[in-house]
Amino acid sequence: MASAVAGLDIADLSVQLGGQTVLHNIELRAQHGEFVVLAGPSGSGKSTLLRAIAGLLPCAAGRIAAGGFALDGLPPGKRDIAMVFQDHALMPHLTVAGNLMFGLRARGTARRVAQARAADVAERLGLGGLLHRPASQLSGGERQRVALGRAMLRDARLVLMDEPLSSLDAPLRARMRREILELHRRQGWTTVYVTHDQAEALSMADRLGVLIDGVLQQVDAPLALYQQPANTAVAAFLGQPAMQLFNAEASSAGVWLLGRDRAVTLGAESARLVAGIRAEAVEVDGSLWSPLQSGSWPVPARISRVEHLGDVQWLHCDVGDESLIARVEPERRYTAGAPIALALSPDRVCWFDARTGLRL
Amino acid sequence: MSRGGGLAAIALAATVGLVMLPLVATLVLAGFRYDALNSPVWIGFDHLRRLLADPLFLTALENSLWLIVVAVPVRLLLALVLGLLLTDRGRVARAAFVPVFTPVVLPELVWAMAWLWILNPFFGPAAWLLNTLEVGGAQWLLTSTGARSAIVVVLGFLIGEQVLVIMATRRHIPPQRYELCAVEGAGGWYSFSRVTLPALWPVLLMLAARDVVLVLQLAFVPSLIVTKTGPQFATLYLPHYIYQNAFEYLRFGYAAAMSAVLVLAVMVVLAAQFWLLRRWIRMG
Repeated sequence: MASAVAGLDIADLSVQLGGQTVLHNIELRAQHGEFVVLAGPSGSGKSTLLRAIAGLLPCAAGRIAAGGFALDGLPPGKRDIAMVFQDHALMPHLTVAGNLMFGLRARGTARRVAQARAADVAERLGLGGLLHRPASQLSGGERQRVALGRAMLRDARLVLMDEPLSSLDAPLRARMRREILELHRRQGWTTVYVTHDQAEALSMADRLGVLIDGVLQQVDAPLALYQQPANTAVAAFLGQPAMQLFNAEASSAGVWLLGRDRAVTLGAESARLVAGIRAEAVEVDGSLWSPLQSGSWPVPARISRVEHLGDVQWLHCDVGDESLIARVEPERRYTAGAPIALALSPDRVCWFDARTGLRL
Repeated sequence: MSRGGGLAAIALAATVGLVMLPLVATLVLAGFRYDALNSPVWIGFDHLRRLLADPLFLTALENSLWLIVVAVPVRLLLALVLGLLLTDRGRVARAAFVPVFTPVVLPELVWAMAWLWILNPFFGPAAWLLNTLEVGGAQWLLTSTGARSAIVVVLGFLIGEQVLVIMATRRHIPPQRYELCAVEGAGGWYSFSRVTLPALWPVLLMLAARDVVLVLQLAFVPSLIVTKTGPQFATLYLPHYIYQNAFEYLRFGYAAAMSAVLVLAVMVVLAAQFWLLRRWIRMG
């Protein structure tokens, strides 16, 4: 589509810090109005990428454009970008109104106008009664709303959020997730949201990018990443628990996996493979959630530990020297030490090349 | 007793034995005539009355106030500027930190001797500079304003500690606040006045409060060695006059009365600053 201007277009971006390349050839495109989540373990470069987009860090190579405008070389203040920070970056000595007006006043908006706009945004965020309260006396959720209000007042073509919920407690995080998404839709923002939280990444993203060791491993719909990770790094990062990876070996008889030869043709170049198995893909004899299917590969095992979380049960099973986790419904009783018949459906196993880590 | 309790007891004993008791003793001694040779004689408030009629005491008091009013803001401003410039973690800042901090750790006497040469009105570099710039010439160093200013200049170099405290406070300000300023396109003055200064205020006030006492102490050796309290008592400060009365003229009671006045004056200043500081801290 020629008419659709990308909300964000990053091409071949590299960033160096202290002589070391911390981001390698990043390619990331976001449609206008899209909510893009960047996830990855700490130290993977997510925040660095966000700061490079904002212009807070120089880029060694590559191009960044937002809403059709090239941002390269522009100072942060001229990029028309709003940013929400991990610790909210409120000024403790200023009131809610003062914090909301911070950016407007920095750009020379008249006090009267800024006050009116701040009051309007505060009203919409349910902060109307708190306008004159010092930021130091706000609760975590209120601080978060002030930080979002500041981004609303910015009226930017791109909104960057750097782990904005990481300092909140769990129930509040769940509620703020919803509020941020609603705000994103209503304001028509193009948003790039950085998090290390699996639940946030999978539940909030229109599209999810996984960044590991400064490389953007895969960008796709969250479910696609979850079900078909592009490589073992993404597989091992995404999901709670992550995809379980087992060494496998291709031979003339099929593929040797979990103690047996399995009849499967993969057309792999290398003989050394890695099989990725989600806990919910493991079939368990007698289970309602994942009953044994005909045509599945049998995996005789022994239960080593039962982890009951109330709404779900995790069975840690020993298969020879390996350990395999299966997910079953909470109602049925399992006892540690008992033998159990497990099975794997061939079409629910992800295969990776052991050398390159890439999915076949 | 726990180790913490033991340390607290030692600190308490030291405070009482080395600060509180001498303070009380000073207040009591102010009411006696005592020369350490004969028995003390009770004279009530006579010393206070004599103080008000003592031109040298009044001169020393005026000099001291002048020093506080001029040197405290100058030192604080210098420390603020240097502290913020040196907060940058670059190699230049690290190198610049050495000359800023060295004067503080030099022995006072060595320091004063160096200034004796620098400020010498006949062959010192300061005289050469003043002659070259023709701002009154080297003769200016011989005037009372020149001598008083020279003391302020000497004290202006002894700000290493303050620079250190300001640097530490500045580095504690979350960097995200400055990133926000950058993203919002805020100018240098805006981020200084809205982010840096508000975070530094309590510390600046505390440094100012401490400096009211400190400048008088720091001026003791330079005024003794460099300007020799002159010309015409222009750089005679209260601590020095108290010292002279006690240990040169053996007027211990009279010196005690002056100390009491000095303590009282300092307390008034500190109380005002403490009140301001509390208001700031309550505002968060």
